[in-house]
Amino acid sequence: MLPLHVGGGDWLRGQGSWRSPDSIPMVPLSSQYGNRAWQLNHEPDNSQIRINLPKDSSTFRHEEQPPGTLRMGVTSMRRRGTLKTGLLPGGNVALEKIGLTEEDVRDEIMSEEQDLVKELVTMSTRECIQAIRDLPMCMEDKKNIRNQVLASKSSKKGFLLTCSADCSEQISLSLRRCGVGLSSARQAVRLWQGTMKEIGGRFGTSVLSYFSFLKWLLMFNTISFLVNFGFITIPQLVQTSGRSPDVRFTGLELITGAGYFNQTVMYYGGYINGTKDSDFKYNMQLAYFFTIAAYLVLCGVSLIYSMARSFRRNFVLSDLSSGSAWRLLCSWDFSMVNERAVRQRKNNLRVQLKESLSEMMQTNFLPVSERMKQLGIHLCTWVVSAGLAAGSCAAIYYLCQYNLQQIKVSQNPGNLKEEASTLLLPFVVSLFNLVIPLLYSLLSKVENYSNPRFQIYVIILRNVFLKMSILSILCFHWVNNVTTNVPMCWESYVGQDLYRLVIVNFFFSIFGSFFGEFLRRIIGTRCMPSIGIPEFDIATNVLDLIYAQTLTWYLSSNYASVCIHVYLITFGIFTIRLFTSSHICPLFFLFRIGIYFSPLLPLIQMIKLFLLFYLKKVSLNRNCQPPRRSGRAAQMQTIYIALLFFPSFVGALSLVAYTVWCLTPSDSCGPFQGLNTTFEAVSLWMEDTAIISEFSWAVWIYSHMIKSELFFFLLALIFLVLIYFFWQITQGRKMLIILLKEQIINEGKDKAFLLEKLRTFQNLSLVPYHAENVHGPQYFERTYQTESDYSEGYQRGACPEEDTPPFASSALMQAMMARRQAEEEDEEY
Amino acid sequence: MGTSASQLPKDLLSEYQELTFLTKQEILLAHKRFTELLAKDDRSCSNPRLPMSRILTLPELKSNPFKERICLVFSTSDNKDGSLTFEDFLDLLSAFSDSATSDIKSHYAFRIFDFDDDGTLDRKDLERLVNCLTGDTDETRLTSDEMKQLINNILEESDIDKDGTVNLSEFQHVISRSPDFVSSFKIVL
Repeated sequence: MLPLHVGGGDWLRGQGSWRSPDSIPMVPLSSQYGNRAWQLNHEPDNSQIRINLPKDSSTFRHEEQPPGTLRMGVTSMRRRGTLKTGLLPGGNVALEKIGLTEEDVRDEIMSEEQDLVKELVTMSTRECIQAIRDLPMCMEDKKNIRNQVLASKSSKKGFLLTCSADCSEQISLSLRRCGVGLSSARQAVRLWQGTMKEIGGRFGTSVLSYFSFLKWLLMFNTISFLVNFGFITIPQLVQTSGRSPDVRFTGLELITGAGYFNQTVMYYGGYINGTKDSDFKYNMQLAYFFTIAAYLVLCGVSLIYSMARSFRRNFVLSDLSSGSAWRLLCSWDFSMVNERAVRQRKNNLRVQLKESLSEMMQTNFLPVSERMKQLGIHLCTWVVSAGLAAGSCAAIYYLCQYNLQQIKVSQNPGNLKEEASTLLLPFVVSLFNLVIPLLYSLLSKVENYSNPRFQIYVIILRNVFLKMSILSILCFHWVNNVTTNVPMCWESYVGQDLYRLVIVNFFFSIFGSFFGEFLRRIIGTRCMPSIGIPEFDIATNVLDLIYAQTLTWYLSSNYASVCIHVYLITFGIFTIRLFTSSHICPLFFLFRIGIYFSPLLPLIQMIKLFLLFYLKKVSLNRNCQPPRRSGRAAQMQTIYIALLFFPSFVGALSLVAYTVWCLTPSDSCGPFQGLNTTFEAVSLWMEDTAIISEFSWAVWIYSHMIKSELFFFLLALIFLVLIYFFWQITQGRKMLIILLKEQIINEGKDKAFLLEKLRTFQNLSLVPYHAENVHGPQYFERTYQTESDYSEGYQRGACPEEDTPPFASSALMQAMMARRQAEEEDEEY
Repeated sequence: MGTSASQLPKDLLSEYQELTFLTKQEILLAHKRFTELLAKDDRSCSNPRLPMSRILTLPELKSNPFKERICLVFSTSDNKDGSLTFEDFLDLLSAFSDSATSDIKSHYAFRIFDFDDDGTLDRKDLERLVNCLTGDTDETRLTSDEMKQLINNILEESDIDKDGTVNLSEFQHVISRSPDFVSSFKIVL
């Protein structure tokens, strides 16, 4: 607290109707003052500034400081810089007029620095480095502080130097160096660094978020591929190294995925539970099961973590409702480098500001008929979009049935023509996925949404609904019809279907960006210039990425029921357990079946993403312009991750759960041949281990916790109670925020009132200075309103035309004057 | 600093790594770009200072509407001419880097937006800020009514203690509620 030590009696404390002086928030004043005057320190004779404080100022400083404010040193130094150069040109003159010298100011600064150094010395080395790095000072000041801290630390250490302390210092130093080296190495191998910087420079951060998302998915798939390959494929390859498949390889297999690939390790069917002749027994069943389980747990955990973190940062802490003006101003993208892009961005910003102003000024006085009409239009478009989705689902279902018929009828499985005809289904699916979103965006142009963000959400919702329903139909078909009707390995059949979907989807993305962006640009510039150059449609592209990832997850997971249980329970969806145990068809075949059917799919996805990056980059550079509406990139990112998680991942999980629990594996292929359900492998294993007495605890856990419903019911109950509890805490904190805001307003009023009192007091007692203190009254003009003026708000800000120093610095100077006066009076006694 | 060769001594490099948010590669790259901009005879002196005009030729700063303010804020020269030493340049890159904390970024953003350097953002500062971001020519400026309305909205939203200006704490509070700020306040060489 700045010592407001006014001599001549405690006139301040005598004011009975006032709050105590402790409630006066003087801290910001001292901090701002501190830094501004710190600037004075940059004199050429830096070395002459010694650490000699005037004795009396230090004494009453420390006794005024309440005990808990040791942190204030760092915080106040951190808050410097607001008045960094403000005092200097006119400031020197002003200071002299008030009667203060540079020495006083400098001394003030030195004492603050001392406090800071004292505080830094008490911290550990790592925290100290972090704290110094966080100081918003220039490099020279930071070096200064650091040297002082090191000097004082070494002088302290001279007494306590022991071997162990030295060793731990060395260890932590080397660990730090390792960490720094690792991060530099990581940066050196960062993929696509230059490209992404270029894209960010031309198109802004929201378009960049699409490419970062793509890169993230690539990394994700790389890890999953490595995991699967290491634990499942390599042992299988080792085991079957002698065999060679008896079908010739023709080029069509790359697209259809059948034929040659059928008997390789690409699909479920290629894995067997045999053992080599040597002593090493590799239980392929358990390996297959648990590897993919572990992988999915990893996926799930990382998704939840990033979703929760992103949600907290972008939705909870941010202001959803108002705040358009500041948000627009603060969202200026400093990384934009291209001149034309900057100019365009300025134009867009201006347009957006004007729009937001007109929105605020316009009130919703729409007549009833207008509103009914709007409602009618909305309803129609929703009905049409639902109809489109339903129609496409029906078409796909009939096509699936037709395919099955074909398989039953055909006797020659190796026929090339028949295999090519299996491509019809994926072709139709991808066609629907390409064309119908375009129809949706046309529909949304017909509607008139007041809030553009709402419009984006609606479009995303419709697209997700379409894709979900298509995939649900496919899953339903696979789980119900394929398992019973296909003569061969049904898992491999499903795997092939999914493989074809992925490949054809990829081809369609290529064509999609060709048609979507290239042709639109041609149309926009040559044929119908009113449309203009297309913007890069982030939402649709991200949804495509999520859809592709969904298919991959569909194709590649086999989820241990343990993990499913814990996972699902965590979200209170324990009912799945009940469903699966009672063999009821689960209600939600949402996306994501998984790696169960083809463990090598992440590799294909990786290649696909890699190629897609370059494709999209080229298309972006040639065909698109930067988006018109800026901002909200961070929130959109949260929504994408949430979409990746919620329908996509959870749905796939549920479906795999059903597959593992209820469906019978086919008898002729795969590692789970001969079992009733896949999960039986784990049960059998548990029975085997029950014989060994050392693992009886594991068997006990399995039989009493994992197989019992009561356990999960109790867990769910506990989690619900916790959720309720935390919700109540959040509500309480919201109320606290409101109260604190009111308190800030009140404190501000107090401060202004007290400063005015101080000024009147000083004007009475500083009569000899008054003549020279020409600038004095002008400084305080803006604060001399009475309390009633506060209701007028911001018109005060427009009053002074001349360049007066602001409110805060005048308050500081007043306070300094008062203190100096008090010192002089003390000396007189 | 101050070696005649264009190499940073190792102890200085590690010191800079400790004091800034930059990694070793970034510091070396910054050193390279800085010495490229220096005039030939300046390269041998002990603590060379780049004049503002040369700094503004950097492609990363050339089209930035706040380029002069950035140079002025980070400059430690006595005559406020916006010239930067290498350490000032590192400070600049550190504040705009990926790993800088939101505190540092909002602090420096406040100083950049404070056009008259008085420690608060009053109406004039806000007006100049808006003009900087929307264009300063006659046909691109906002009308004075719109400007007044806009600034009233801004102040209503962010001035918590209702004194007509936005001080550092209020600014940092507003920034903490815009999650896009940290990712857009970035300049990478």
